[in-house]
Parts: sequence; C-alpha cells; structure tokens
Amino acid sequence: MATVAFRSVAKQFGDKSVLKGLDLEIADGEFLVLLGPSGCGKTTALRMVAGLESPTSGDIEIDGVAVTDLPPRERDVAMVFQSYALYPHLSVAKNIEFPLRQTQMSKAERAAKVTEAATMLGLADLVHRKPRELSGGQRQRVALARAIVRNPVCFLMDEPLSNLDATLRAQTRSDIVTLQRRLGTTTIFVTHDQVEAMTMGDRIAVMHEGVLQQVGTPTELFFNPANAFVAGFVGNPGMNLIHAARGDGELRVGEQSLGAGPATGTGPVLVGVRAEDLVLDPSGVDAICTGVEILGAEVHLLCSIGEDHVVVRQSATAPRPGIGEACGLRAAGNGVLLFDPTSGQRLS
Amino acid sequence: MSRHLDRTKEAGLAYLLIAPALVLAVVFIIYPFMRNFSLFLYHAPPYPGLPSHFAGLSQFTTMLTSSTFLQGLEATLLYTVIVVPTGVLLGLILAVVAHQKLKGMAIYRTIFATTAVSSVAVAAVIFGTFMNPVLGLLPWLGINPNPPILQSPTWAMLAMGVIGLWQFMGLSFILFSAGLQSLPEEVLEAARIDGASEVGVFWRVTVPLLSPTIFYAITVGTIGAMYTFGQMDLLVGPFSAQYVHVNTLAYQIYQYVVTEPNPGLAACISIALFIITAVITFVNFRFLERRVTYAN
Repeated sequence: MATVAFRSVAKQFGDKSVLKGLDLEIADGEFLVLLGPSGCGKTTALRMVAGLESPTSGDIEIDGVAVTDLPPRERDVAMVFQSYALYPHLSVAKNIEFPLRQTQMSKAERAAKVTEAATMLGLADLVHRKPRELSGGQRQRVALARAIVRNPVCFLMDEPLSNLDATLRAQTRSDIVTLQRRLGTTTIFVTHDQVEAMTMGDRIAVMHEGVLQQVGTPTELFFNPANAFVAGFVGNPGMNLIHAARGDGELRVGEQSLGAGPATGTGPVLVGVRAEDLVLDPSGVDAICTGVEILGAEVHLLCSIGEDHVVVRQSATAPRPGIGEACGLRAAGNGVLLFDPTSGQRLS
Repeated sequence: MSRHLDRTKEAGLAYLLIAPALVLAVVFIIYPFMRNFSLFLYHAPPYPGLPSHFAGLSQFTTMLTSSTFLQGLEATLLYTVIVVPTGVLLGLILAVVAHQKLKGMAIYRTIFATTAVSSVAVAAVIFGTFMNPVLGLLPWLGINPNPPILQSPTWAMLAMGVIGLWQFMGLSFILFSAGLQSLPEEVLEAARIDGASEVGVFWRVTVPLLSPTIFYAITVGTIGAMYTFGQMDLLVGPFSAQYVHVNTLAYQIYQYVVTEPNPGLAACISIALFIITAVITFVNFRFLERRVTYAN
C-alpha cells in the first residue's frame, strides 16, 4: 500500500500532446477513478504509473519516491488490462503464480498464495483450465487474482469491465470495490463510463483533452461541477446545458423565462440544469420533443431548445408531449448552475 | 421446377469456376502422382518406345537394400538436421533483433528477408564463389583445405547445409517477423509488470506465444529440406555427389530421370521420400503440436 502522485506530468506523442501537466495525488488505500472520454489521456496516465510509458516531463512518485526512471518490474504495481492479458499458454493456476515466480518465494509458499487468491475470487475449481476455456467474466477474475496475489503497493485497472455484458459488469463492479476495501490497496481505475466512476470511486478525477478538469468525491462532482464539461459528463444523463441570458433575477432564452436566476450580473450564460430539475411548463421556454426513452418507472424526454439538446426526466405516468410536438420547459429547484459560455467555468 | 433449374445452373457455374484450379491440379499433381505409381510397379525401359514389364514391388525392395539409397537417406536426414533447427533459431533471433524499434531497421529487415526469395542458383553462385579454392573468399582468409571444401567428404555436406540455411533463414525470419507483429502487446506488458526481465519475457512468454509459428517453421523447413538437391547439382554434380556424401534422395531422383535414366527406380525413391516425409511430419504433429498454444 502506498501513495501515488503525478507531479506536473506531461506526455507528447510526436506533435500531439496527450497529457498537459497533470498534478494529482492519490492517498494510501484510496480508490481513485480516472474518468474521461476516449483520447483524454487517462490510459496514458495509468500506463505511466505502471512504467509502460515514460513522461515527456514531470515525475511519478510512489510513496514519495520518484519512480519515473524505474522499469515496470521494479515498481511493485499490478495491472488489470481491458483485454485481461492472460498468458494463453499457462493454466489459471500458473497465470496467477506468474508474478510470484519472479520472486525468491518457495514453491510451497507460492502454491499457498495461488490457492488463497483463486479461492478469494471463486476460481478454485478452474485452476487447471487454460484461459481459452474460460468465459469473459472468469478471465476477468483470473486477471484480478494475478493482480492481488503478490500484494502489490498499487492496483492499476484499465477499463477492466468494458468487455463484460451489462449484468456481469454490475456484479463485477461491486466485487472489485469489496475486494479493494478488504485489501485496502491503493487503486487507480480508468474508465470512460461515468456510472462505474460514480459507483466505485472514493474520488473521481475527470480528464478532458489531456487536462485534469476536477477531482472530488462522486457527490461533489455531481452537485458541484467545476465547469461545463464535468457537468455534462458526470451523471446519467449528464447535466443539461442551455444557452441563455441572465438579468433582473431571471434566466431568459430569447424573451421567454427559463426560471429564476441570480440577483446580480447580466449577459449570456450557460445554464446547467439536471434532467430531474427541468419540468414541462407551458409558461416556460419553447421546446420541441424529439424523442422519448422509456426506462420503466420513469421516462427521458429528449427535447431541443433552439440549438441545445436537453433531457427531461419525469414519471412514466405523467402527461408528456408526443414526438415532434411543441412544449414549454422551465428550470425548477435549487439545482440550477451557471457557467461562462466561453470558458465553460462555473459562475455560481 | 424453377428452383431445381436454378440449382443446376448454380452447380454448373460452381464447376466452371473451379475448373481452372481443377485442371492445374490434375495436370501437375494428380496425374504425376498416379504416373509415379505406375512407374513404381513397372520396370520401364530407359528409352521411350521400348516395352515395359510388370515388376511389382521388386524394384522397391531392391532399392531399400541398396547402399546408394541408404547413403542418400543418411545425407537427406543429415542435411535436414543441419538446416532446420539452426534456421529456425537464427530466423527467430534475427526477427527479434529486427523487431526492435531502432533506426534503419527497415533496411536490415529487407536484407534478412531477401534470402528467402533468392533462387538456389543465385545462392550456389554466391557460395560457390566464396568457396572457390583459387578465387574465393575463404582461401583469401587463409582457409583453404585440401581437398577443397566441395570435394571433401567431410566438408561438402556442411557447405550444402550452409547454403540451405542461408535460404531457409530468410523464410524463417519472415515467418517469425509476422509472428512477432501479431503477438498481443498487452500480454508482454503484463509480464513486465508482473516482474519478468526482458530475457524472462522472451523465454516465458514470447517463445510460447510464438509456438504455432515455430511449429510451422519446423514443419515447412523439414519438408523443404527433405526435397533439396539444387546446390548439390550446381556445385558438386552427379559424379562426385555420392563420393562426398551429398547425394540426397531428391538428387538421386533427379539423376535417375536425367543423367542415368531409370524411371522405375526414380519412382521408387520418390515414393520412399514421400513416405519418410509423411512419417516425419506426422511425428512433428504428434509430439510438437501438443506443446503449441494457439492464442484463442
């Protein structure tokens, strides 16, 4: 167990800058999720901790010691890959044992550790099988067992749930969290799926175009996004962002009122409002219903207000407009946030 | 009814489409194979037009006990043993070297691969020049054994082997280069993170993952080596080949067709060579393929 820190870490691939001065500290025993869309630099950051990529500038520290120049094998970290990266020629037991064989550990001790890890992940009956004889979920668990068996200082997980079906993904999500809590090992988990991030992480670091946008607990990110990107990316659906103007304590789209605004300040703003805080109201701003997603007890109405596309969450039993019909929308509740329409930074 | 017609039409088209391949197979594979069997059973005269008579297996049993055949078998196997394991190993090493992301590697890659597409005649000329007792590179370097290499029962086979190796190495290099490029990079990275050194990664992960390629290279290399006679013919010739122990079975077949016509005997040797190759390939599959891991 250890702390991990990125100190002004930057990475260039040719002309392309994929990481622009990342500063981030992960506490001992913490479960940190690196969240962002593809190409945001999150996997590159993770691979740098593993030693599979070296930073163009800056340092990676593990337990306060710079490991930037150390090869992967000297960092004592374990990684779980999206593809699981199991050794196809080795049995499950030998796959799990592989990291231990690189140490001075006796054969008996190795066997005991392999059995312990296999049992912990429910693989005891499968130890003699080859990876190709396993299902996706089982391979996933072998990869996890291989990671935990040598008790590394840090787990690095690169989208390990992406190849699983929805049911198994939900199950494995909670299994990984339980396992991490039990072992107390510092974990960096990379994903583009904000549901995974929200349900698993102690803290989430949101990244976009190589820049860290915000670090915080899932609740902080959800209720207090630092900018429009985080607001729009976190949550399911993400926060609605509507181009409007403020003035006289009112938020307006054109001449129509979207809802109450701050008492001070004038000029254009980007209004952030969660789907559940946007309600149908004939006295609100004009919108067109472009689609309906029925999720069971609730529905998502997909609407457009001018150029902006928004989602309205409401009960399945509440009256709703048909597709293509006009409706009025109003922001209600206290969840309305304002962002600078140019920089995207939070204003309120 | 119309469906029946459609099917007939479709089948007709199918036969039409496979016809060119079928004709080639009949002319170059099936007919020669059958003809070989008939030559094997009949004692054919050395010149066309004379009657042939049924000989049964007598030609074959005579061949099996002849010292020329046994010596040819020994030469063929010795040549295969010289060329195949070394060629596989060197091809693998060169492929690993060329796989490194270093500057100018494309040039090396081209050089290594070229030998696979050079004809045996080219190889023979190059190596013949090297070994020429008067003008060659080896005498110039002070290596000038007496009798000369190509006339020495001790060294001639090794020289043939080196030429074969030079050619096979290129093929083996291409196979392993392709194999290395298709290795799952993440598995190698996992091994590095799991604590393996680069040498450890090579022996414990790369080589096992390349096992299908190794198996293929051994199989193809063995079959190729068993049928070699080009450099023997070009550098040694039919009259010295037996004396310097390079008279491989494939070369004997060639001689019994071209230099001292005895089609029956040539057919017998070719069937023997076919059986020997088949047995070796079977053994390869039986014992080596068990150790092969196919990734998926």
